[in-house]
Amino acid sequence: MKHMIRWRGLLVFSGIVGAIILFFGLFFDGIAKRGLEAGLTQVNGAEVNIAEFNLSYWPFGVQLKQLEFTDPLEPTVNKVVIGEAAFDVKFSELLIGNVYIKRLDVAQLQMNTPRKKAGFVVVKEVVEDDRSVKEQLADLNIHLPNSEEFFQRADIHSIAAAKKLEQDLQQRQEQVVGAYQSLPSEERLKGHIEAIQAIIDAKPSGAKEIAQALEELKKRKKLIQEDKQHIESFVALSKNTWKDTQSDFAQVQEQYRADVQKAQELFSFESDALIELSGVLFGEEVETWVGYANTAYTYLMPLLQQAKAEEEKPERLAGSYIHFDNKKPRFLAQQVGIHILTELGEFDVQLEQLTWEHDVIDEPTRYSVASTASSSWEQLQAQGQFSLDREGQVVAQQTWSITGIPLAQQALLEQSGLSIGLQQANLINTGTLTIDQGQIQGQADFAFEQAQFHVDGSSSVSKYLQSALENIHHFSIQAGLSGHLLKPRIGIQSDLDNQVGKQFQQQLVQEAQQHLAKVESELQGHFGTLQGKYQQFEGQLGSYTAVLQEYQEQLNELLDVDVDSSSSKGLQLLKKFKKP
Amino acid sequence: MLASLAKILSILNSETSAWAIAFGVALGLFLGLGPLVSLQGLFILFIVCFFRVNIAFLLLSFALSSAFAYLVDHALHQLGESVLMAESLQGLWTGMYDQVWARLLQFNHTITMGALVIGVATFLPVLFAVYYLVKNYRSNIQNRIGQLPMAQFIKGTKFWSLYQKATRLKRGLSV
Repeated sequence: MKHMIRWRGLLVFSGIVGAIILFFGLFFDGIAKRGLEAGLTQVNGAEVNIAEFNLSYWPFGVQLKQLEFTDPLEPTVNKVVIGEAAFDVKFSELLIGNVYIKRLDVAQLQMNTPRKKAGFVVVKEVVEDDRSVKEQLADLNIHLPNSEEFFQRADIHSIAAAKKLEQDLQQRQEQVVGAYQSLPSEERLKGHIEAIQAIIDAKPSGAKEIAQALEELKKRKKLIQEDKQHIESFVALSKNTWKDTQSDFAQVQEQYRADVQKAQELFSFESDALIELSGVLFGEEVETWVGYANTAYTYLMPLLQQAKAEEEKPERLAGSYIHFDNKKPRFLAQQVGIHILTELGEFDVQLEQLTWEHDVIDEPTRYSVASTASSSWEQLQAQGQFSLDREGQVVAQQTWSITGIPLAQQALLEQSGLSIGLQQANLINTGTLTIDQGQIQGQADFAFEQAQFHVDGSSSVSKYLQSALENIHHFSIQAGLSGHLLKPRIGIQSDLDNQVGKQFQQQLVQEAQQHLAKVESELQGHFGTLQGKYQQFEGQLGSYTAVLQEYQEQLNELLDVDVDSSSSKGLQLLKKFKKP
Repeated sequence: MLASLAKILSILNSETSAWAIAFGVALGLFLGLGPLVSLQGLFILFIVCFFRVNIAFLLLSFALSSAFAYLVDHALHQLGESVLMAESLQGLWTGMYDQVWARLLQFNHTITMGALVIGVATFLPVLFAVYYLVKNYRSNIQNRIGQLPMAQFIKGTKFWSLYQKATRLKRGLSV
């Protein structure tokens, strides 16, 4: 037995164990700090720094100061900074890898603060470079054409047609007048009458006289016939010209009516065709506000899910730990108090039963968020619960209410040529959301009271927006939430669009009516002139026709005179003949 | 390398207890299969320090079994997993899972469990086999090897002088 035991070896063993204890006693803070930094860096996906790490051995607890979580998407910014965190841990459980915290206090938590030095990123996510929705409005070209632009751009035919017909009418008028003037004169007609009268008055009696009278009458009738044909040709010309003119005028009249119709259509508006202004103006702001309401999930859930995933990651080559169902979670913080400082105000967050193993403890993590009156709101309250199922999917519910949010000098859109701001408004925001299997469903309501907009800019839309928004003081926005928890889709509906639409319509219709009146007046001017000339031409042709009809009747009577018939008949006819 | 081999041979040819050599080999095998930095590793270190276990053979056995364990890592994982998942043992494992001492032994780690099973199963056979081999070597084989022409040749080499040096050093230490 004496030879079996090596007493000096016992001393060596004690020395080794002592050295190990001494090493950990001296350097455990540093080792634990680096271990925690490395672990949190994996969970966060980007560098995590801890400025101070203090251990207390009885009771066993940890105090951390200045924890900085780099934002993986923006490494120059800290996603979260914790000024101080303190918690006690059950040591015996910690030895076997369980973290049981009775009370965790987190103070001075801030979000989105600049880092002194860019932190490294474990996994870099690719961010889609979306074009800002606000750029859409500045690009929007609301431009109402005036009467000049209407005549330049619209396919207007009636004016040119009216001018052409005016010219044609002039030519036709000249042609008809010329033809009329070349007709046999009144003196010539008198000459015919006098010549026939002389033949009758001569009262031929002998065969020779009668033959001579017949010869003279024949010659005269030939001349009369020629004049009659001349007049008939003129009447035919006059009729044809009038027929063509009537047809051309009807065509121009139709084109005029079509052009007036076109102008009326162009200068009329449908409110449906107007822009969805609320999405453009408030889209990003609503996303931000919804983001605040969703903060607990967007920050905490990925950490818990990552922690669960890291723990359950199979390590095939290095073996793996098998966890037996002893109904005890590996991480549980029974009470957590977090004090958050943001630019908007201070938040007091209380959580109960914080873990990622809700399926083990069989109850959800409950939480409440409260913020006292600040310059950002009169009251903020939110409460809810969440749990992760066995597959790491989130199931959660939350309601929130923020009242008395004073908005002042809020820039909504700043683009070259257009800037829109909310000079003042009072906002109330309420909402509910549920998350199931990582999918979010919910609604956030924003009620704006006493709103005053300010619009400035040289863009064509600015003058319309200015007038429209000046008259809107109350409106509401409903943001419907859907999609994945970390990338929620937000659908915005608002009565602002209807209100702006009505204002737009009023302005545009009023302006359009002015332009339309000008267009109609100009079209009417051209058409009216044509119509006047047309009517004048019609009157002229009418008077010509009347005169020529009388001429024709007289010529017909003269042609009816015959010496062979009784002289008394010839005399009677001659008497019926009216001197022109 | 030659020095290490010489040292091993000198131990075999010395008056070091055959049990010390056998325990060294068996414990080295146990230590080499499982994780070095563990509670069981510390326990073996205590045994090695407190009892007369031959450290040279322990280190040799540890090195060989570590290399072997690296090659059969996957098999150890599967063995450990099947033991830990065995339906009939669930009560035992669940009970142990709540015990701090058991968790410190990392019994629920698949490779650790596989190594433990192989280590426990082979410990006694290896212990007695090595004891028998050392005894047999010293009583029968050692003298016969010394008379072989090859052995005469080796005695004239540098290796032999290293062996002699190791033997003298060992005796000096033991005085």
